[in-house]
Amino acid sequence: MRNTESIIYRIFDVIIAHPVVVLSAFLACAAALGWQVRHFEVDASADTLLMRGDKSYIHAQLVYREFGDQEFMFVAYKPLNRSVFDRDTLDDLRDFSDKLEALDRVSSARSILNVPIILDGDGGLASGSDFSAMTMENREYSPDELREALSGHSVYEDLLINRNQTVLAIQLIFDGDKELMELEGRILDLEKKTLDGELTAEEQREINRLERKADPMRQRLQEIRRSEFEEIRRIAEEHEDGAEIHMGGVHVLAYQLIRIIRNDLIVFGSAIAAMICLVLFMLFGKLRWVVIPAVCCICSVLPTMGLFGLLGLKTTVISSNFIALQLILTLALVMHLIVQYRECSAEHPDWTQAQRIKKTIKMKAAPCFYAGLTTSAGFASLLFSGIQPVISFGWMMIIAMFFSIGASLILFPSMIALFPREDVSTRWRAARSILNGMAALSLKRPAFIVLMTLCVLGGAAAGMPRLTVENSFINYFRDTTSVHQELSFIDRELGGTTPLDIVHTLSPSKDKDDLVMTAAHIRTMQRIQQAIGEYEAVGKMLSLVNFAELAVQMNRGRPLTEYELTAAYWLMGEEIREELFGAAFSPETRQARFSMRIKDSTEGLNRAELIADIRKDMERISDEDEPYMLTGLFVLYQEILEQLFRSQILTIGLVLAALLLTLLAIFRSIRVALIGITPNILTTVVVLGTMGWLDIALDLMTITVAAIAMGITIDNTIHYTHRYLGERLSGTARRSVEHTHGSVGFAILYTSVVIMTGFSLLAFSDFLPSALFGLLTSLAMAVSFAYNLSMLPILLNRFVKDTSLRGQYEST
Amino acid sequence: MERKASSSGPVFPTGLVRILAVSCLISAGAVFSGCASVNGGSIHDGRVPEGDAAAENTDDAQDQVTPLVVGYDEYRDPLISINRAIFVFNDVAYRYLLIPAGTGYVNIVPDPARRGIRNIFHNIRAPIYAVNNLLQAKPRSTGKNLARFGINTTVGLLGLFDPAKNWFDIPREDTDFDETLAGFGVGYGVYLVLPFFGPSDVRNSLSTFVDYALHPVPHFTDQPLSTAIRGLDYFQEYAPDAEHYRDLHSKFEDPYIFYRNLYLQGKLRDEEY
Repeated sequence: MRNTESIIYRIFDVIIAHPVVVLSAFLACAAALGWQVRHFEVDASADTLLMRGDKSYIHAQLVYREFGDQEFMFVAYKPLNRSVFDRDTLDDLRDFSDKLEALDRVSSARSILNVPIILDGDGGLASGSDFSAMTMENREYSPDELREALSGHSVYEDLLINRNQTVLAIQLIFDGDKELMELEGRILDLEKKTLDGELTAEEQREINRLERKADPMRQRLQEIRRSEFEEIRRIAEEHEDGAEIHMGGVHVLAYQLIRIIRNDLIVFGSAIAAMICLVLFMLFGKLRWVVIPAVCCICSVLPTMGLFGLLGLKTTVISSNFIALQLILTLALVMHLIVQYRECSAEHPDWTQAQRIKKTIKMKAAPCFYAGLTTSAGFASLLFSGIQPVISFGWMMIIAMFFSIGASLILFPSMIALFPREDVSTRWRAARSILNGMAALSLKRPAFIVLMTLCVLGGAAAGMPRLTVENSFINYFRDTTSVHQELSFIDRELGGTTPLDIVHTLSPSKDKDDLVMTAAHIRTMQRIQQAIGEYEAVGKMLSLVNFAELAVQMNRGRPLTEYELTAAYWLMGEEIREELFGAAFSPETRQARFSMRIKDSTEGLNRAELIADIRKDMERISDEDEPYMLTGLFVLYQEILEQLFRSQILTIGLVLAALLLTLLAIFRSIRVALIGITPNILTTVVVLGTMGWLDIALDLMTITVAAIAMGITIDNTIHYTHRYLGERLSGTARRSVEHTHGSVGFAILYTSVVIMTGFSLLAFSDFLPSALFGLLTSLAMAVSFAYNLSMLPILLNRFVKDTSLRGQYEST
Repeated sequence: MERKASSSGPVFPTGLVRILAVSCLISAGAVFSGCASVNGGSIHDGRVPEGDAAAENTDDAQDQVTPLVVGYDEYRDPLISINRAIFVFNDVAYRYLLIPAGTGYVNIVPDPARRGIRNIFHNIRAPIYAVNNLLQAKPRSTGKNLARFGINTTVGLLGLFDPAKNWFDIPREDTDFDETLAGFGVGYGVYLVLPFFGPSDVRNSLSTFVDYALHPVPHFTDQPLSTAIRGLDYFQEYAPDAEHYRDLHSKFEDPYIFYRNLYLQGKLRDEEY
């Protein structure tokens, strides 16, 4: 122990002796890694949020493949001051649609202009008419005929035209990248084996190899999509004189998410940085105390991002907060060093700069290191959550912590060594009185503090059962933003956003020889469609039922016979069969698919309940030999969210255990470790309880907030406890509290003030998860500050015995 | 879902049958009307549509739906051994005679011409529609069909065009005596496969005689011209479907059963809806 310590201090001696060399070396390394930031990626696409290799994910992929899914998006076109069936409207739409169709990857632009529209007078099925020629491209329709033919249309309504007939839509269908599809097909073939068994090491290696090959292609696709959206936007602007144009769909959502996360990173990143600098300057009144923390923060954040870029760790919606977090944690570390340095300066004005730095390091290296280590341990527990995006968030924070420790412990001494000694400066009076007041309160009125703490704890805990889990991507955007309006417009008017699929296996007992499908099969499907279609949140739903409805309509309202259905099925030609039925029915697996989009913006939508209700309906309607499966993004998102929620308790438990063990290792006392864990528990309960009381649902972004609250709190606790125990070696409990408040207390107060002011700015973000993150983080900071400086000393005074302390603590 | 006939007979065999009838057996007078029926004569005849039977599994009131596709399980075919033999015979005849002829017609005659020809024949059949409409107690439909006949014969140049529908918005409301009988509650009897004619049943075969008597052509022309004209009628109506026969035939292990059930289910559906 002594040896390692002396080696460590010798290293610091070197740093202090050759600050320029060390600083340049560090900056060079940081710059080299930081340069890799260009590889850093924000990825909010559906895939990053899902659990690759997870069973549900594989099932969903299999369903997509079986039914030949194609990528699509919607462009809504709402003519201003004229009817949707007006000739000018249709001409403009045709022009717009032609331009969109000319885009590289667009395979078709489907709209009412080019789909068959069958009028009542067309004579029905018996007329022998060529229905595929009955489009606006081939014949004239009067506005009234169109209104009539499209009103309540079983396929086109809510898809190509809204119910009120005020909005038209172009459904853009995109060609997939053949090479990528082939690769993903091979990956899927291998992954499919995990459904009934284990993969061999060989197969796993093959998957990894293919994934490595597919990854850059996926990134390229993402990039292409981005420029496509921008191109479509540009084309849309040419038509915006006469119409309101909106884009919607899952990929548009992902694009907008990435845009707003990137935008927030830049806008709020700089605003927070500016605010932090300002507050630092106000607190310390010296430029150096602005420059040093700033450089430390930059030198920890940039290389971390660069390394993630190199490692290919993508920032997802879940981990997009890591920069903010790393900033907080780095700042906290630096703040403690600054306060310690200034304490040395005040106590020993005669010391040289090197002596002051040495003393600072001697006092603070250990707690800083411990704090960083403990935070890492806390985040390491996320690795056991079993949820890929959370696991990568855990890894990201562990890596980030090491950079932060490195940056603060190496950069701080080498930078401060370049500055002249600081004359003792006056401390912020208000700060002093606040800290004195808190010290006095916890010494003189412990009962009051305990009571208050219990009240807060009880109140917050009562809010926890009110916590709900809900994830609405559209509501991530503040409802006054154009993005929210655009996405919810399509969501409301054109049949929803998030895809949900029901795959229903046709009952073999209802089969008849020769028939593709029997009346009984269709009857069951009709029941399913009717039951599920009744939910308010279920938007456009398409299945064989819609086509049967259309056939009946063409048959002048009379039902088809099951033999006619089969004859029609075989006679329509393979291509049309594939196009019409391919997405709704798979003859090989005898599965029918109901594909729908869920209206994400539905008021008060309880997603878990919706899924449970749909399952109940399916159980009620299907027979035992008719297995069904719910899949699609909606289900996958919900599953990951529920898994996150379920794993919350486990994760929080693991975090607590990890923190407890680290505290035990640091302080070598079970009592101190147990006391040290209490602030974490309180902060977590308060944060979650507040969310419960304020009806803030846990979603994919806020669900990590509990872990984050702990990560922030533990720093303060370790610094405080470390100092307090050190003071107790030579003094009474009372003196220890006063001294600790007068030293570490400042660092805690300053850190809290800086971070709370900085992060409160996030409340102005249009990205609501960021706003919530900012506010909840500030709340966590406030609680942590209050508890660590009032309740923690009471517990330490009460439970740490002088005698027991000596033996244990001296060794550290 | 293109081109799906709702005629009272099966889609293609009947068409082929009619073509055959035209070219070979017109003199026998056993001609089958090829009209789509819109009659709502509802006879249940003790048969339970299968969809309803399945509904018993989940008799929740909330899950009641109007069936889009119906099925029936009872096929009255006591003459199956004879029917099968004729079916085999017909198959050969269709393959080597009717399909080549029908395909040739479609390929040679352009679409507008075929449409015109089709209009003319629909117009000629107007008396069949009008009388049967009357027998079905639907005088409005009778009136409409007579008005159509008047308009299309004059303005429409002997029925070549359909101004009644296009200008006056009076669509055709076709029917036949078979439907009239069905409306009176007469069952189809048993299934029959007639040589060349293909799928049929007792009621349909008998009703053909009545419709034949109402057809204007035999009254105004002599044999063999009359037969030739009516031959062309049936031929043009079903020629476009001729090539599909083979496609469908090849899909089934026992095409006889498929065509029979297709025909009879259509019949039963027409009776019910």
